[in-house]
Amino acid sequence: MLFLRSLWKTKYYFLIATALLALTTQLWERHWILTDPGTNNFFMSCELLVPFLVLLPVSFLLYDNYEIELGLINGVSTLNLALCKFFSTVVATLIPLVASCLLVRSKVYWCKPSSIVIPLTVPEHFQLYLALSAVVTTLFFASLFLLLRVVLRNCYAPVGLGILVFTLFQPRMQDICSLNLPFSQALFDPFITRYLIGDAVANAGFTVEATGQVVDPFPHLWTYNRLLFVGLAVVILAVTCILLRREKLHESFGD
Amino acid sequence: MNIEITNLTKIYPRGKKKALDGVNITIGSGIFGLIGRNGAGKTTLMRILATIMKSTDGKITFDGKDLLEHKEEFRSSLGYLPQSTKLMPRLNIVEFLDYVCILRKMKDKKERKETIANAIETVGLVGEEKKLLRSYSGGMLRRAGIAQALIGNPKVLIIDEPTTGLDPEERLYFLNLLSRIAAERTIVFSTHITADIEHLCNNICVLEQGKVEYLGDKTSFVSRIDGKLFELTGTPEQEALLRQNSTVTSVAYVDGKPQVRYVAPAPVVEGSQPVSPTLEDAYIYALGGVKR
Repeated sequence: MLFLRSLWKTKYYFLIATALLALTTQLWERHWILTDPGTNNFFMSCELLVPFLVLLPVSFLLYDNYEIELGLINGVSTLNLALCKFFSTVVATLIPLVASCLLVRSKVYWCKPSSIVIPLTVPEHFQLYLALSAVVTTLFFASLFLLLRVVLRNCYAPVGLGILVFTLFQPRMQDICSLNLPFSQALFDPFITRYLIGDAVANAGFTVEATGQVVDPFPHLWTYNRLLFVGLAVVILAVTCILLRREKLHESFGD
Repeated sequence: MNIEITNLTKIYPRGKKKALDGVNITIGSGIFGLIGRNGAGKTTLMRILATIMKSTDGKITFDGKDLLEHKEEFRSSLGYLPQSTKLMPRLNIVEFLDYVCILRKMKDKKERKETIANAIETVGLVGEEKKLLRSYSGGMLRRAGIAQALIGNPKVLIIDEPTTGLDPEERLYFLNLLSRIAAERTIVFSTHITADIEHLCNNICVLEQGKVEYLGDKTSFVSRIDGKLFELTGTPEQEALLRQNSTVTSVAYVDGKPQVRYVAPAPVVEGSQPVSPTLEDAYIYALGGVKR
């Protein structure tokens, strides 16, 4: 019942997410949004899944003390409250996402799974890159989540924005892998690691694509990119703190 | 419902002093007033009673049953209005109460609708259903809070400092509302305003620094200073003398002269008149008198 109520309260987001996703898919997406064969679920677990999992405890903040106390007195745990809101958000995000994908795939001729793209290089300590990437991406999205929660008082906006960012950058995957994307553009991609690390890790080999380039840009690009996103997270958190000082925390996190 | 609090102690993890220190209270049906200055431990006691905070030590029973062992049963007969007046600002009263009904696991839509309509009528918010709670005045928010606490027809109501910040009219309306809903219920009502207690309660508990300073009926509390309360309109020097040699319960300046009410076994300064004590006199005396 509580979940259904939370889900019902996502109704406006549902419409907005559908529209946004349909738009971005039409404009930018030329691949299957959910999984691209050029990459692998491994990166998802590190760079994409982790931030969203981190949003789960953050979603506790969606409830203020009063709501938490009200829940407790009525025998509903805080975890239950948070899960209801979080999962209703996830459901309201996934449905338009999948619907958009299916729609676009059926209507637009070029929306077919792309051919497998083998990463250009595999960094020597890729596990370290992945772990650090996960930390940085988590920090970035969690800070964004908080900021949007305070500014928009809307818990769904960050999830929508996350997916928007994800879909916007998705088409560049192939370009980066074949080194056709300028360094400056790749710099602003929050999910950078996944472009260069895939299942090919298991093969311990790499293929140079037809571009003929032999320079390995990954470590530098990755370092600059991660530094940029740590910096962004710090700035966003600072802005959030300033905003929270101007209005009471309690009011910001109310329903 | 009878609530028995035995040796209740609460020490906050980072706290240096005890928020509650071996509190023993028995609460029967009717309105029970908990009074004490800010920081005396009232809210801590209310939160422990409302089962949203754990005590460090001690025991609470209701109708002979241990509160911790029968928490769910107690919660099902509990309504709680916390000190916060924010409620859920972006909902209207109907949406807000519907949410509470859902928390109370009322699945039937018709039942929820009836419950909400009754609650709104009880607290006098008919006609205000469409307004968002953030546009409510302080008094209306308090009434909305009471409506929330009444959902499920609880036998016990815990109401934490509800009249703080209300204008006199709203305050009186609210106190009358509490009197009306008190029948066949146990209401634990905390405040630091003695006039509220005077208006509502027969049985009171005075908390001071986490300890029970007084527990019993209001009349006995006041009669503790019967015949010991005097009033004097005198000079600043006499005021200073009284502050040194008695417990001053109030000082008001009339035409520039201090009018002092004080408690002492006998008049300290010549010209002092014996006066009838009020609850406020007794309360201030219990707290050690006015310091400033």
